[in-house]
Formats: sequence, structure tokens, C-alpha cells
Amino acid sequence: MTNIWGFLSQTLFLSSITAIILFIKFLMRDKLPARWQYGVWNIAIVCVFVPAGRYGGYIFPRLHILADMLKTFVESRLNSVFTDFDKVQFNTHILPVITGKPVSITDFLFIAYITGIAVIMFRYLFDYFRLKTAVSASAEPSGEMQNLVDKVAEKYSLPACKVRTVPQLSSAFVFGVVKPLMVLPQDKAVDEKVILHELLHLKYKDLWKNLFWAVIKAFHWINPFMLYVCKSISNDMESLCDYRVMELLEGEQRREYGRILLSMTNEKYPSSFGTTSISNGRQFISQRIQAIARFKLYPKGMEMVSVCIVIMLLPLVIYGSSINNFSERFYKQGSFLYQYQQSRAKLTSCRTVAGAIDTYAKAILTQKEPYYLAVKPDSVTLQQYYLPPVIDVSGGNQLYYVVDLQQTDNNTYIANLLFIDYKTNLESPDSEYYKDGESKITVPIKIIRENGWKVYQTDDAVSNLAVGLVGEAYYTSVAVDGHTTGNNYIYSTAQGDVDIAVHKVLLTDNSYSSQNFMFQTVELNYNPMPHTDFTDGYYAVDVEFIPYTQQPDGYVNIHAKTMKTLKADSPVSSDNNSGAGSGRGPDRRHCYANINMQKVNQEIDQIVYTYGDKFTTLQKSATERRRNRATLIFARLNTTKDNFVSLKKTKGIHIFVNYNGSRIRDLKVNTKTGELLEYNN
Amino acid sequence: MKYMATEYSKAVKNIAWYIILVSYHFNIGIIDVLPDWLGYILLYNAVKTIGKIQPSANLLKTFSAVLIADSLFQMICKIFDFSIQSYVYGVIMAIIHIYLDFQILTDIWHTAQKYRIYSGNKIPMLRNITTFTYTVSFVFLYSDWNVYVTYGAAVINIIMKTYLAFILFIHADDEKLKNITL
Repeated sequence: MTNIWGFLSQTLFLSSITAIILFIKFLMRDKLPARWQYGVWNIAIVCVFVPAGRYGGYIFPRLHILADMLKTFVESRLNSVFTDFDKVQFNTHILPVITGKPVSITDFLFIAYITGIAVIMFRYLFDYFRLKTAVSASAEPSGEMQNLVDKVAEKYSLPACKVRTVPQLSSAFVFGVVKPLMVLPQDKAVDEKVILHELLHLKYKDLWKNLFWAVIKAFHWINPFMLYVCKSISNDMESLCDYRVMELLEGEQRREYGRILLSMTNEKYPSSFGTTSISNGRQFISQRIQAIARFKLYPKGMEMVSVCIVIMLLPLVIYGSSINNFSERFYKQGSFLYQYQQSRAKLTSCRTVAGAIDTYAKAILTQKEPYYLAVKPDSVTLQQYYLPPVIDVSGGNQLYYVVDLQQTDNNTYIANLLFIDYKTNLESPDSEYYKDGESKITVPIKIIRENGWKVYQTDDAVSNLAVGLVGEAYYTSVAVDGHTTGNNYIYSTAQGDVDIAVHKVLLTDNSYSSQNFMFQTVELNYNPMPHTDFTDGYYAVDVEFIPYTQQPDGYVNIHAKTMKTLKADSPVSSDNNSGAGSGRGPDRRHCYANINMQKVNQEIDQIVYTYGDKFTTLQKSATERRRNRATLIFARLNTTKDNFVSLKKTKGIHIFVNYNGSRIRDLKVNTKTGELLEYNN
Repeated sequence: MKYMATEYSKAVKNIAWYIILVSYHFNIGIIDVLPDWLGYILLYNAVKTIGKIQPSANLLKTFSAVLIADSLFQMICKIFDFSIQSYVYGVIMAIIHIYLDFQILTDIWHTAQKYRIYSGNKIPMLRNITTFTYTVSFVFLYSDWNVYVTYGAAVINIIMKTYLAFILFIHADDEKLKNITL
């Protein structure tokens, strides 16, 4: 962590986890044994090493949203070197690090925090060495006392240790992490059970655990709740030790042990760094005595439910709850709710690529700033986004299409986002290409990994005509004019060139079922789903056939392997000498020029394609002939979580291009390799 | 000395019905014809009876009451089409559920052991299996991990719970229950 806000985030995170654990312990205080009551704190140990928000979630997200609001409010008025007020605070590690010379008050607060840690650690070491000196200077125990300790150790099969005695010591304790010593009162007799208690501390390495929690306490010295938590952990450790003692004792011995504890309620107790003591204060001793009174041997099966409860808690404390709901309301800029909404959006972390794209697409559709903020990379300011006009997709059953998603490296994807706008038309009503209410808008995007996934637009949006439903089959044009993507194949036949563009299309399920009392309605969901996955996918094929015969003036044939894309108004740039209208020769170079697409479409009388195992014949109506492209679906794919598209079955497409009523050629496309194969029917 | 055979038998049957009502959901629209809240009420009544024989069962009264309140609240939310989504709340409820199921079955088993009612011998095994599968399906469901593991565990859980309910019904009609006394 590099600033005071990083510490705040981390301490809130750990406080949230420990608060949950304390609540669960409260529910189970008289139901689960002391072993579980202490063991559940191991979950907190796991979280100590996890940076807050590392996996995109928080236990209580609102706390972190409020912290981000506070940070933005404070830092926007300061000139901090350690903090960028506009960026979300994410810790990459848990140790505090100074990254420059402090300037602002918050920078100095961070320095003060680090200084506090140093002071406390120094105090620990000072106390430790002072105690060590005092204990080293103390008397060797009498032979009788050492024998007693050895006898108890042997009786209960516990490791023995060296003993020291100190005059006027109120209660026994164990001291020293590397070479532990048992320190006993010199001037009074020590009961066997007290020695047993201390030996059990040694056996279960409680000194090391105390050391660990003392360090954690130092790192969270500002947070009083964490100080309380560390004290609770220490008390649970003592309670567990009592429980272990009770397991080894029987009958009247257990009651005697309770009486011993009772006698310690008014005594002072050592609580130095690197020590454990049977006495831990009046309040906690009374709790321990109550626990002893409730003592019973829990059935063996109880271990299983104890473990299951810990397993249930683990995903919560590691992954937390993700922030994934967006407020749809508009708030006045500068107001508390507006700032809250902004902070919540910034803290939203899209866990999946599909989720990031979904959020961005809905930002475009709704023009809501929080949606943009949720997927905006830190390196891009909001003004840099090219915001396309508001798009109306309410005429269809898909909000958007993700076309040709490609991974360029481990942390980057590119894609085209396609919208069918049912209210916009680029043609005038007099044009033969006019169709009431449809155009498609393509937005090129890049998706990068940055605290989850972020999205930004890489080029201008492109609008062009769309095609819609035709005949018995559903097809949609996903050609992305202006942003060449997918795989293009040009195949030359004797009758003409066929340009096939293969695009990969991915969909998310944006249908929303709203359940009223007895009825269910299905609508489109405009709320972002930052953790969604792709739910469907298919390959879409654009086919364009340009016959050689009856070519318009200026048309020159094209060599199949040299051209990548075909455009209606590309300038002539070939060195051919055949002239327009002539047939195809073996050595000609080809290119398009001034093609009258209307005439081309008139040549296509019929398109037959396979969908699954069926052959469906489409009769292109006069209305459809004006289209300059037709897109055919030929393979339906299943998506899995790990692979965006997983090809379940490969089916080739058979395109029968019928020219003047006669079948000319079958073309088969291998969907895996994109290879075009010609075979006779 | 009070003989508890009839009351105890009824309590065990209530536990069996509770398992069925909570495990299965048949919805007509949004109405669950096997309501959870009814199952929890049966459970609460059973706990009061079993608590007379096994005092540790009395610790479950509070949990049963909490689950009744929660299920009624969930039903009201469904009717008025609003929901409070909180992973923390879900985890706490699941922990209460898992402990409660485990403890009540343990108490029934201990009673069976004490009075040598052998029809209860399968209860601990089924208890352990259902506890484990419930934990797995809950963790995987909320963590959105492998779908097959999630639903596989859930299916095994329902099958085992159905079998457990069946065993409890048989146990409730065991002749040896007449030996149970207060």
C-alpha cells in the first residue's frame, strides 16, 4: 500500500472479515467447542495476506464506496504525491511503501502511520529484551520444581522445558519464542494443572501465534476494532488451552482447575510480547470459568460441521461480495448521491471479458455515466471516448453482438461491437435501398486487463445498412464495414467471384424475466452484468457474388488470391488489358471498379444453404435483391466458460449459387480452417 | 416417569416432513406449494419435544425461529417482487441451516443409540453426506465455479435427503420408541 487510503482500504477489509467471524462465533458460542472458536480465526490469517479488493469483491462494499468518496473529496483539494484522487485505490500488496517525498497532509498522515508501526515494533523488542534480561538474571529453580515440571510433562506426554523462578511473580507464564522458558513464582507453590496449562501452550506453538497477531496488531494500530479483535483472539487461545487441559483432567480435577482460575481474577498478569500466561485479566477469566462449567466432550461428528462452516466462510472472505448493481437514477452533479454513484461505479470490477463488454455496450445504449466509469481504463479520460449517438435496439431480441473477438495477448482483446438500430435509416425514403427503420452501427473496442477488465473504443463508429429477416430462416448481417475483421476468402468460379467473409459472433443472454404474482414477462435487460459470460455463439458468413457475365461498364475481373476485400467503389488499379466485359483469362489481374450492385443482385435468383442437416430454399424477393450482401448461418456453437467459443460440431456450408436458374457450383467452407473447397454436386 | 413414544414419534416425523418441505420446491407462479416456512414451524415444534430428551436440542430453538422469520420474509419479498441480495446474509443463513440440521439429526441418533433403536443406525451416515453435499453445492453455487460440480452435489443432496426422510419415517414407527422415557 502506498498511501493512507490504501491502509484504510486494507484495515476496513480485515475489520469486515473479523466482524463476520465475531458474529458467527457469537451465534455458535455455546454450540461449538473451543477448538472451533479459536480455529475459525485461521480464516482471518488467510485474509491478512490478501490485498483488499484483490479479487474484485468486498465483504461490505458500501464501506469501501464511502472510503473512495472520502478519498476523492479530500484528495481533490490536495496535491498529494502518493495518491491520484481520480483513480480507484487498489493495493497490490499489504506492506506500506513510501513512493516519494510527502507533500500533502494525507502524505504526512501515511508517514505518521508507518512511524507508528516502527515505534510499536521497537517497543515490542524493547519489552522483550528487558524481560529476557530479568528472566536470565533470575534464580535457577529448585530441583523439586524442575522435577515437578518434568513429571507433568512425562505424565501427559508433553515437551518439557527449562524453568526459571522469579520472586513476587503472581502467575506463571512461558517466555521466549526460539528457546522457551517457563517462568514460575519463586515464593509460592505452583499447582500441576497450571504447569500443564503452560506446557500445552508450548506443545501447540502458541508463542509463535501470539507473535504473529502482535505484528498484525502493530500494522493496524490506528484501528481500535482490530485491537479488540487481537485481544479476542488471545483470549480464545487461552480458552482453547483450558479446553485441552479439561480434556486431560477428570472429575474433581476439572473443578479444581476452575477454582485455580477463579483465584487469579484479582491478580496482575504479564502481557509482554512473546509470552503466554494462564492469567489474562478478570473479565476474561470469568468467561473462561463459564466455558469450563459448560464443558462437555463434543461428539466426533461435530468436527465435520465445524470444518463445513469454515469452508462456507472461505469464499466470502476471500472473494467477498462484488459490486454489480448499478443505480439507474440521475443525481445532481456534486451531490452526495452523485458522488456515491460515481464511487460505486469506479469500484465495480468486471471479472469477465463478456461482462466488461456488456457493461460498455449498455453504457452506449443508455448513455449512463456510471456504466462508462465502471469499465473506463485509468489511462483513458471520459472525454476521450467517442460516444456514438443513442441507439434504439428495442425492435430486436438482442441488445448487441460481439463480432470477431480476438485475443492479441494475455491481457488484451479486440472486437467489434455491433448494434442494430431500429430507428435510424441512412437512406432517403426515395432510395431503393430505403427500409423503414434499420441500420447497423459498428463500434471497434479494445478490452484490457486492469483491475478486472476495462473497455475503450479504438476508432470512430461506423453506420451502414443492415439486413434483417428474410424467408424462412433467420439471418443477420454482421459485416463490419469500415473495420475489416474476420476472415475473408475469395473464390473464383468460371461464372464469377464469390467473396465469403466469416465472422465469429458471440452473444450474452440479455433477456430478463420479470415475475409478477402469477405471470412472467420477458424484457431486455439494460442493466450491466459485469460478471456474465457469453452464452451463445455462431459463425456468420457474408456472401457476395459478382458474376463475370453481364458485368457493368468498367468492371474488371479480379484475381481471387490477391484481393482481400471488395468494395463497390474501389478505384481501378490493375494492369489488365482485357477491358471491361471480357471473360476471365488465366493471366489477368483483377479488381473491382464502379460496380453497379443493383445489377449484380439481379443475377442472384436463388440461394440455397444448409442449416444443420436440412436444405432450405430461399426465394429472394425483389425487395431482398437490392441487398448487396447476404449472411448465412451455418454452424451453431456452444460456449463454455473457459473458451469463448467452443466448436461442438463442424458443419460445412453448401452454397448453391444459382445463376439464371441453373446450378453452377457447390462451395463448401471448412469452418475450422476457413478453407474453401469446390466440389460438384 | 413419562413415556414419550407418541410425542417423540411425532417429532421425528415432523423432522422428516421438514426435510421434504425445505428440499423440494414446486412453484405455481411464484407460490411454492411446499412452503419452507411450514417446514421450519414443524422443525421448531420437533425441537421442543426432542429437547426434553436431549437437552442440547434446546439450543436450536432460536435458530429455528430465525429460519421461520427468514422464510416468511423471503416469501413476502417474492410476492412483492423485490429482493435483498446479500452474500453475507446468505452465508450466515446457510451456516445456521447446516448446523441446525446436523445437530438435530445427531440428537435423534443419540436417542436411538441410548435406547438401542437400530432403525436409526443409518442416520449419522446420511447426516454426514447431506452436510457435505450441501456445503459443496452452496460454496460452488455462490462462487460460480464448475457448474457440473454444483448441480451434481445438489442432486446428490436431494437424493440423500429424500432417503433420510424415508429413514426417519421408518424410525418414527419403530416399536422400540415406546421405551423412551422422560
